[in-house]
Amino acid sequence: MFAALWMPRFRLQSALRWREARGPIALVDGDATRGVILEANAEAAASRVRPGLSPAQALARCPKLGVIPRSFAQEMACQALLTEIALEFSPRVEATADGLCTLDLSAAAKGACWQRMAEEMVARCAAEGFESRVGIAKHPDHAWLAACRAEPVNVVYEGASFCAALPIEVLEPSEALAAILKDWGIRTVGEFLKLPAEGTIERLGPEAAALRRRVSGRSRRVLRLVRPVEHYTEAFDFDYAIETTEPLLFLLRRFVDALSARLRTAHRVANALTLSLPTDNGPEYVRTFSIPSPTSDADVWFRILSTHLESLTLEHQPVGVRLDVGVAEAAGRQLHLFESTLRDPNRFGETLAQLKAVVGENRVGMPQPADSHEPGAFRMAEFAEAGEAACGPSRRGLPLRRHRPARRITVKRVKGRPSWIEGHGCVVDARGPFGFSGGWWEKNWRVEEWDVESGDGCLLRIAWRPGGRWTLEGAYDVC
Amino acid sequence: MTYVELHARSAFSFLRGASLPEDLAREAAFLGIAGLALCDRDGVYGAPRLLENARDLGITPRVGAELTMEDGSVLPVLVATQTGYRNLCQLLTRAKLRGSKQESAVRWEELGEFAEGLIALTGDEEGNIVRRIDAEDFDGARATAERLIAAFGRENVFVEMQRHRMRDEEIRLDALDDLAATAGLRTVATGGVLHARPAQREVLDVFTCIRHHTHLDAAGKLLAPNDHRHLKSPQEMAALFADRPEALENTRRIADRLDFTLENLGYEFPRFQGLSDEAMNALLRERSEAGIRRRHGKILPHVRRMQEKELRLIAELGFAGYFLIVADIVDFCRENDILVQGRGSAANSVVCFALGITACDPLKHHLLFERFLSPPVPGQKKSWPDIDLDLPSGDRRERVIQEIYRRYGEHGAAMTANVITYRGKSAMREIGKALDFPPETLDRFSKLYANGDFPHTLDFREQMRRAGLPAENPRLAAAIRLQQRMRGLPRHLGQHSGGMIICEGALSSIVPLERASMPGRVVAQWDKNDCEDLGIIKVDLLGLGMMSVMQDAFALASKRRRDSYDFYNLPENDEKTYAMLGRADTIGLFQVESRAQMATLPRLQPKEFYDIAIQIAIIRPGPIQGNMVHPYLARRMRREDVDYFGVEKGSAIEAELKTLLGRTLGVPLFQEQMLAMAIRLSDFNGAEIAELKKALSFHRSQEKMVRVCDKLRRAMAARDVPPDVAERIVKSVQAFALYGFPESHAISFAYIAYASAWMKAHRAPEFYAALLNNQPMGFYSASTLVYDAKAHGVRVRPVSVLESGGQCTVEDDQTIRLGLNMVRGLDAASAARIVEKRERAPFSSLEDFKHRVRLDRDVIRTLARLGALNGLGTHRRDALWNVEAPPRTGELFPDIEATPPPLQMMNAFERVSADYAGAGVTTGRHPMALVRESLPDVWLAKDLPSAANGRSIWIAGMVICRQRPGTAKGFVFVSLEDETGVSNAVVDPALFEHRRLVITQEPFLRIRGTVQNQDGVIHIKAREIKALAMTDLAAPGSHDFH
Repeated sequence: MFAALWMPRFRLQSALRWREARGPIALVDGDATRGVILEANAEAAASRVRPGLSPAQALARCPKLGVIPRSFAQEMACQALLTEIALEFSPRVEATADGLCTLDLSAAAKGACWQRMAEEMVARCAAEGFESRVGIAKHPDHAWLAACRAEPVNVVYEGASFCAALPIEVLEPSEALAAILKDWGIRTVGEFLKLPAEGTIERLGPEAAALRRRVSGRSRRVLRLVRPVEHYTEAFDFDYAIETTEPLLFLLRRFVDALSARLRTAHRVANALTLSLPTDNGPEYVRTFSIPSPTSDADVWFRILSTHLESLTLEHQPVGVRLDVGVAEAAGRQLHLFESTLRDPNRFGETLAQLKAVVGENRVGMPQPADSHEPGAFRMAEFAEAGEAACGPSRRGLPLRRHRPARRITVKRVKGRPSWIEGHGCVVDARGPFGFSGGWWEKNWRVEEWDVESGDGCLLRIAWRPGGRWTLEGAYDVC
Repeated sequence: MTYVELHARSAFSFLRGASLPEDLAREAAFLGIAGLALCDRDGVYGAPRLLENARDLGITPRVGAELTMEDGSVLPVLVATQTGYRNLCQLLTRAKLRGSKQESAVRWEELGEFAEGLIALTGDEEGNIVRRIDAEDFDGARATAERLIAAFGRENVFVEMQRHRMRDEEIRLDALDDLAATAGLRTVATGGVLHARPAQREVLDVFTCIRHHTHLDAAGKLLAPNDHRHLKSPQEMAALFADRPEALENTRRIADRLDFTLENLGYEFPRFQGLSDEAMNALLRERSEAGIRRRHGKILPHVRRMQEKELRLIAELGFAGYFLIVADIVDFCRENDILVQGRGSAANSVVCFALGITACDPLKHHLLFERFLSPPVPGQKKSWPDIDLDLPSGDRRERVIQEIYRRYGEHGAAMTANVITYRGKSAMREIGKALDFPPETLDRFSKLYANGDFPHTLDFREQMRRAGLPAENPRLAAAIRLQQRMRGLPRHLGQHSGGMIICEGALSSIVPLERASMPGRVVAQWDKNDCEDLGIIKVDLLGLGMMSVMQDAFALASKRRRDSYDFYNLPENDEKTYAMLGRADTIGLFQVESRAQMATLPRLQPKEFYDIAIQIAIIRPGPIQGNMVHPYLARRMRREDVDYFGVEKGSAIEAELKTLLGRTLGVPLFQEQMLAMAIRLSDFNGAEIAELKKALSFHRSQEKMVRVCDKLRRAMAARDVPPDVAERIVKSVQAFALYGFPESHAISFAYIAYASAWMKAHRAPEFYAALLNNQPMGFYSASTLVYDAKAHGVRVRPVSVLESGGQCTVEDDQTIRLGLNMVRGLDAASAARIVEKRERAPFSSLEDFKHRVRLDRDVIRTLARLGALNGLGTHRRDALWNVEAPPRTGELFPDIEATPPPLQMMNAFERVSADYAGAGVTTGRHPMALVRESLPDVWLAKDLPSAANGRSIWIAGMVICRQRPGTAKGFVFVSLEDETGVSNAVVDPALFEHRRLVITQEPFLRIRGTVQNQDGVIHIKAREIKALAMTDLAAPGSHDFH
């Protein structure tokens, strides 16, 4: 016997994981510009919200419809989990399609109660928060068809008669074949089987023959057995933007526990954690934490995350959270003869994270010139990244020793030109102003710079900003 | 001090400049700049607009251009003389016609050939010399300077100096000084202007993002470093270049050498067959007299008087060649069986009528010749007449256009340009991309945005909020600012739908020409208004779908009934035709088929030809805005007394107004009436008439309108017209200036409208067949036309490969057969092959059809689904079964009978669905008829006249039109079609906003509302709107304007 373990509306269920779904909900694919509804729950379907509609059409039919985007990360995570559940019932599992696993139950004990086994599978899925259907039949394809009609389990002993009443779509014919069958008015498997075999195959070719064989149960295909899960991700989208870290930490604790358990089962360790926080009307916040000494210790992971979150302030409120685990083999590494290592690399990583927490997110690393006209603008790069791009283009003129931050000074002007500078005295000569402005679409900035020679022989760069604020930007290296 | 800005780019550099030429001119005048040279990229696109605006502002407009060179660098050149201008145009044309539409590279070796009369500047940071200096390739910079000197001469090359307050530019300027000294060149200071005022730098940054397909956060150093590339006053420039006074002084010296302005364009309209003026005048007289004799049999005295007056004026103005050339085009059309009719103010001319250019007899219709041609005024530029030719759209019009290209050559004729500008929706989409708004937000914004110029019932911020952008979004303010600033700026250059310009000599030396996207078309860089302002004569070759329909319908009727049909020989004053118009039975008719027209026809009850012209003119925003429609209808229905702007009865002014407005019951409906009122009541002279005429036509200057209205007020006051009357007249004039409609247009359109109505009333099969063959066009879908045909007793037979021709045909006096052209996916060549094979020998079986015609399998399936193969089997699924069968030719046992098809027949729903999907029409039952039993409470469209006024009822049907007219204050009109006709609902703005998505997205609707029956016009005032949950049946699609 074979079992098909199926998560109906897999993509929608994946997107709804970790959340309570209320009311009509539909899933729209990622490309929102040309987006279409992919799946809808029962309440939405009752309002004639169907796959293929545009979100605007769907909202027209059901104004209270909740439209949520597809989440590939959650689908991957759910598929992995489904496979894991299937593997608990049989070592021979095929990941047949998204949300569908086919199990070869030939190794099950003789006299096993198929009904009970199917119910256990459903209960196991329910424990993970999934709605599932299980079909059991003598043929893997019949098992899948049985799952399609299961409420929530369906054990089929007479495959042929069961299949006849099914809609033709369950056979998943190719698009071209489906169009022809639609033209012919064929709606059920039974109607399809009633067509003269020779005439049908003559017209529709080998695919039709394969479909006939499939529903007739005369041939048995070989399952493509799966290897253990490769992807380790958990994600969740909040209903509302959150304002404190508590809900985040609560979820992350659950994520790390579940993920570390799965990694340990696979004898693997994590070498990086990527925390992503999609925000409300703002850019997604993404931060990757490398784990200097790869581990599957959930406490280590959580410490890294919680240290970072303690001092994190975001401009926009998070509306979701995703945790991706970078996986490495657990094997150790032989050091070179004169190579030393940190006594506790993970501790070092945590220290860096704490430093960032104290001084600010973008203040640890190596400064790099930013792609901006704003004078002195820079961005902080990770050490590894900075090493690769440390050499910027050469600049004409004298090198400038910048004051960071620039020092607030008093400047006196005569006819608009600087004539005296606090701490440096009279201005001997001045060139400028050199004007720069930008960021007008959000954070407007404007600066006018002067290069001045002061009475004490210094070549200085001073700047004026709106509001009458003068700063000493730096001194030119004249030697 | 004097400063002339010699290097400015406008928004006509397409994404490389942020201000309109008129904006630059205004700012230059404000700053006290003496002159301005517009150097747009690869063209002189903005030069006419600069000329038009600069004149009045006291700015001397200079012409120049930035040339994109083959190495990607940019070379600015200034036009010194007319020869220089001609050289620039030819150089640009050569480059433009050499490459594709987007490419325009000038070769270095070409410069010498076209350098005479041009002055070259070395350019800004995009110039070859500055690029080389920045790369520290000083020898290369020197070599480029020598190359320019060789091409233009040392005295015509200037080293350009710009200061934009950038730190590195001093090094660059020092290098340029050195170059100038060593090469013996002079320097000149320019602003390198990219926008008029500092604030417009934001638009420039957005344009930069659009050009580089990026957004503001990612654009980095692609964006402008500051906002200094704006126009600067002479004082600012003097301060900036205090250390280089010579460079500044040279701006004036160069400007003194720039003698050329576009006023000395040197354009001449071609001479007809190279004849002298006298010969052309004589020929025109000869042809005109022959034409009148042909039309009237003889020349009556009053006709001769008018003809003489016109010919005299035409000769005085030197326009005889123009008339002869247009007549020649008309003759070409007639000789090549292309229906043609002149429109526009030409309809006011007896000569045009005699030459066959127009079908409208101006004397019969009392049209005002002065609107067509005005006597010359000393010191004023002569105003060219406006002749538009209406042609059948599509291939036939293209033949005429190509004939003109053939006659005048690729460099001798061109389409006028059509400048596509940023409008609300398109501007917001680009702004949103630049601001990195989510695509779905922009998509939603577009869906919520009213199309075109229709009014917006949503506040911009609210619209953005609904699109998903909250009010507190930090970029919202920038979005709003940019949306206002970008509106109206040019986006790209298209081609005008029909305006062609020709020239004596090479047109490419008058205006640069470039290739249009459409193969075989060349387009000028100026639009029709620019051409008109510069005195370039255009002939409008306009494509009208209805002209195609009429030509086809006339041909079908002539062939079947062995009679001749044309605009000129249809019976006049036909009762049946007017009765049909009076009951608004006008689906498919020209100009009178819209919902608004239908709502007016029962009130107006046209009885004669002129009523149709009024009917066409009355549903226009102009009269509506002028609050004129209702008075006319009220007077027509004798519910209001006829009155002339409230002037005292029996006064002299009333008598004058009576002669002008008597035909329209005291209500001015046409531009000609406005013009005549102004002439009579104000004693305007020729120049003032010309000014008013220009202001009344579709023109862009609001200022001119204000000016002319002031003159009008003063002139009427001088003639003792009471102030309140004068004010009412001025208000009417202003309304007309925005949306005015000339009587001559209305009468020309009325000819076509009457002809289409007569054909529908008397030759319905021919009319509907022709109409279906020319879809898509008009207000209604093919599906609606088919139901309308059936309602008029025409049997519509489905597509059949055994019967149908390539197009829809008339089978007998009551029957048409849908043609193979209705089948989606079946190209014309395949349709022709089906007909050809069938004519050779009838198809004996489906197998025979497939074998002989050899069509794509998908097309045969479509034919089978549509029932077009039913004649070769029993039903549609029978054919669908057999379509899939492999070919049986060469079988061993051909006589063995195949098993009968096992498939069931399609039911009615399936047939309708297949028909709509495959042909867009069904000859079977209306989809609403199929669900009628489930809608017991819904009224049929045909029963609505019996519904009591004010009663609340349900209507339902397939949405055939959603309309939100600009003048309806946000009200939306929805037309629903059921199996008995069309019912109309009016949706108020609040309900529309509440149910916007249902109304705009659902193909079938169910509407509850109260009946409003006024003068036989029935509307349902909607209170509740629901989607009609009947089926997922494919609808044929509606025509939407919202």
